[in-house]
Amino acid sequence: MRNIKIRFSVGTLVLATLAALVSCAGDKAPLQIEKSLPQSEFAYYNDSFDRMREDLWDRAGYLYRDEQVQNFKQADMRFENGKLIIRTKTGSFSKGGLGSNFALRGDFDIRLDCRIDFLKGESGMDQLLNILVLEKGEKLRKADVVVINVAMKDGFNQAWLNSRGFINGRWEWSGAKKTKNFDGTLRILRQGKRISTFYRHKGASEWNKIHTFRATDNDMMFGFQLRNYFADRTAIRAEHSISAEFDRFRIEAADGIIEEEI
Amino acid sequence: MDKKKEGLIFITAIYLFLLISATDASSSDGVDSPGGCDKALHFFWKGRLESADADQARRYYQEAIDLCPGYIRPYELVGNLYRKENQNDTAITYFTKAADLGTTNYKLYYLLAGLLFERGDVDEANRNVKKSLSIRGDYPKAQKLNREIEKAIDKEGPRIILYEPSSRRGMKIVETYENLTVRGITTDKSGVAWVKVNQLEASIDEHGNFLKDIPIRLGTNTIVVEAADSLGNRAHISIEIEGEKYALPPLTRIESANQRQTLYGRSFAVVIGINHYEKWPVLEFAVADANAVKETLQETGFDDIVLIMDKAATQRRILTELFHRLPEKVHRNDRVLFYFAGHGQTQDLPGGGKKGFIIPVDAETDSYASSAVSMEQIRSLSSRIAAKHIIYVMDCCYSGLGLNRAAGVWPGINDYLRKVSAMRVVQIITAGGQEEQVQEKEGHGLFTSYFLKAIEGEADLDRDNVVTGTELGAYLRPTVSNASGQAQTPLFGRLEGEGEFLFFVQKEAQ
Repeated sequence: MRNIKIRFSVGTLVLATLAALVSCAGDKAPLQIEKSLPQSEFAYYNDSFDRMREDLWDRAGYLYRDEQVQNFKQADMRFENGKLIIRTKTGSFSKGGLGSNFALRGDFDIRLDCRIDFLKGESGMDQLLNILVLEKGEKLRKADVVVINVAMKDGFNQAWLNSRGFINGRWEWSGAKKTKNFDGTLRILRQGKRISTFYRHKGASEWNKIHTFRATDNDMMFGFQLRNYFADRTAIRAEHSISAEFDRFRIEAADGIIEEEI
Repeated sequence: MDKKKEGLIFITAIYLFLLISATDASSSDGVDSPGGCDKALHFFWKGRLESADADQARRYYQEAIDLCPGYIRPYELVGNLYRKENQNDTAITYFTKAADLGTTNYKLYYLLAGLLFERGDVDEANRNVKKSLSIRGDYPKAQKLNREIEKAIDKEGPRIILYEPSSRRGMKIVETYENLTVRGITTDKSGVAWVKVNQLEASIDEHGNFLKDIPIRLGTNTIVVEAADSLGNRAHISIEIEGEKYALPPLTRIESANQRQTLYGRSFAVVIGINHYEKWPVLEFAVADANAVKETLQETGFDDIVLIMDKAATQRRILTELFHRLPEKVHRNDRVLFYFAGHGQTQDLPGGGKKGFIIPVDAETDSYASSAVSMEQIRSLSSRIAAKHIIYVMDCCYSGLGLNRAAGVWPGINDYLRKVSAMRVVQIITAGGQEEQVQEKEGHGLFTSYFLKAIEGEADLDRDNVVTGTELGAYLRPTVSNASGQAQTPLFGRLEGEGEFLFFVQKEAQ
């Protein structure tokens, strides 16, 4: 029994070492897009959230379950001092956010400054801020999606930060990193078919990598939202509102930007 | 009763609160109103995410509209689905609804304008494309459509403004000879195709400035200026002038100052020399050359010479001199010489052409295009000043001048000097072409050295005591080329007109 345990540990060690090597090899990829349109091409699309840019965004509102549709209220969204402030409603499923009217082509590097202060000791609701990229043109159940979540789930007093990918019809998860309130920048970088997710706390200079997914290289749309529920929730109490601030969205690099016809 | 009243007041207060809340939350996309509008967002997104299946998407958008009739965005997307299926009338209905609800989507107004234009409703199309551009002025598709619509509604010929002759209709004017310069500007939103003066085609630049020398007769002359735009719309104006008999004898040689005065009013020169550039390589003889040119011009009848040297020769100063000071003092019967000794530069244009620049003292080396003076700017001087004769003498090398090598009036005709002096002309001569290096000799640039000799008389090929612009070119091209061992060959040509710039060889009495 002892021998078996030792063999298992050695095997685990070998696997862990291999995984680390693979991970390190991945980490050596540069964190910038080598070929990109010039920055001037992005100026129109970068948003400092001074006002609602209906030419760039549609209001987010997609729901996952009938129970959510039956009892849904759109969160309040207001622009104040160059920030978009979203505040959920109480007593119902509630979310607010924006989805892009344009798609990103090829390699890209997008960033969003945001801040959320979690409520402690809440039950009957979740607290979730996320940003995502979504494959354009595919039906929702088939489209590749990569998400960064900053969340506190009902019944937990600990927030965490992780990344999920819906790739080829299956969900993949990164490990979760514990966090307190979040104030910083979330970043999604695509290089070829590799989509990497990062975060950086305000004032820090180094990026913290969350995960790298092997996903589609098709055109992708972008969105972000604040919700008081996870996708699988069927009932909600939500006695309090949660709010988040979004300060600046920018395209740091991209091979191309594909506009909608309308 | 009091309790009933209190209850009523309470209910009214609640109602007002709800009303105010709803009003505060309303937004331009119409989805903040309570009730179905919250759910409408969900169906809208189902439509967006099912966009591969148009019928399914349309059903979801329609559901969103039914739930929230004030929600603008689904109207836009449904309309676009119909547009893509060529159901244009239905598309217009949905687009118009979105427009009526106050969308700020510039693409919607563009697409609506396109459909209306296709349907022949040009005025509505024009209104909508203008709305699109008012939201996003640099939207290329709307700009293009706007041009097409403007062409379609353009039923008028070009606007014509006459600068010269500037007299009112029927007014008697005195001309110094039998040619009259007709000069003006014509504009049209569809673009000017041509301008004719008394049925003779006039030269016209990209800004619509036109020019034509026409003969005038004794008695009443009717001058008709006619222009057409690219759509064939025409317009014309006409004036009448009285031509008078002149008692001037034929002029074959210039023998006296009096004779000179019959040909020119005043003679202006702007002379620029730069040795000590701020960022470009220093030159050795440009300032000396400019000084020598100034002296020779003074001796040969130029009475207003502005000398701009070294650090004074900034882009701003040069442009001010050319475009503000000169136009204020120069009149129709005057001549103007512009001399520049310094660096020249040629920029290869993306489309394959070339653009020439003279380099002021403060020009950048890498982004000189914005800090230098382009030949286009210099050429446009002729449309801003009234002088009948302008010559540019450039002791620097570059290309991209767009010279017209067409010959002027043949020297053998009767009274040649009067004829060419009466006709407008803008001529230019440069020290060399793009890749050539300016040579130096005896403390002067080689080109300027021979230029000075030329106007002092060596270029007076027919010994009539006048060096014409053409004679100057004919003399300098081979002489400088040979003297430099073919390292530099001056370029000469006329930018407009058929006259000749005249240098008088005989020096002014001191």
